Amino acid sequence: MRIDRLTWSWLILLGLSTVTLLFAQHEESGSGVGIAGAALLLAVAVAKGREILLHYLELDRAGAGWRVLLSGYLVLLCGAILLVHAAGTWGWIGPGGTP
Amino acid sequence: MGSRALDDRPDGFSGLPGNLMMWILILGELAVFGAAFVGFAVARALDPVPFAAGQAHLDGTLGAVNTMVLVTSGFIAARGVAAGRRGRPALARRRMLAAAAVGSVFLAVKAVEYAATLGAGLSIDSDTFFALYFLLTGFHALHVVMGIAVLAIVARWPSVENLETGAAFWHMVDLIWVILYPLVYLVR
Repeated sequence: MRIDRLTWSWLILLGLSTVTLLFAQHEESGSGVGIAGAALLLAVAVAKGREILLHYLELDRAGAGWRVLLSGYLVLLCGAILLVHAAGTWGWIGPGGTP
Repeated sequence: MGSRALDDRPDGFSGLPGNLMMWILILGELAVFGAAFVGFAVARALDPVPFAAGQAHLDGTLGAVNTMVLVTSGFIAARGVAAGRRGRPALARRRMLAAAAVGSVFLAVKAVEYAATLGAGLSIDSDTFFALYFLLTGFHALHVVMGIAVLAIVARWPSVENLETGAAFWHMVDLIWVILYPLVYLVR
């Protein structure tokens, strides 16, 4: 059976969700995720978001400006979240790091 | 707008599926949620102790299950749009209703999660973390409720433009969740 791009997107999204599921189960048995873990989780979020934007919302068929605008939104938002998380963990802002 | 062949779509607003007004709403929603997410991250950085303690109470596995529920529902809705474009409105209607039914599983899982949280004595006025947790997840869950209603409406009147417009709102709800979930449940 031929698998079309939309179905691939769904399978990719399920696969990436499985990664976060494993991460969540690992986390329940331990402590914080650290900067690298946060970066991985947010990178997975960007990858999921791109699949939704391009293939569910069909931006792959819209103008390039829309892809740049909304993919840029995803990357900038997740980048800002990571930067703030790192700033808190390294003590640049807040009380000086997570306990 | 929606009945045009996909490959003929020009650039500009008319290059997007569905009704223009829905896209204006989507851009506004993404801006509001984006600002709220950065605010959540800043609040955690400024006062990490209650956030770490609060996140430890949440069930990240349920959140991951809900991600799978939403992306599956979104896939079915996208299939519904495809059926409408092929001139099969009855199939499109069934798929939109199926997408809404799968979407309602998200709300059932969320109800289990809220029951466990509230049952542990943790509510919106417990601390900063739980105030933001209930506000963000509650606001998102309200969008899921609205999305299910929109899917039901476009299933009732399944023109191609209606199907595209309803599905676009539903995919936006999906998009917001894939950022909200790691931010609120996992990153700590």
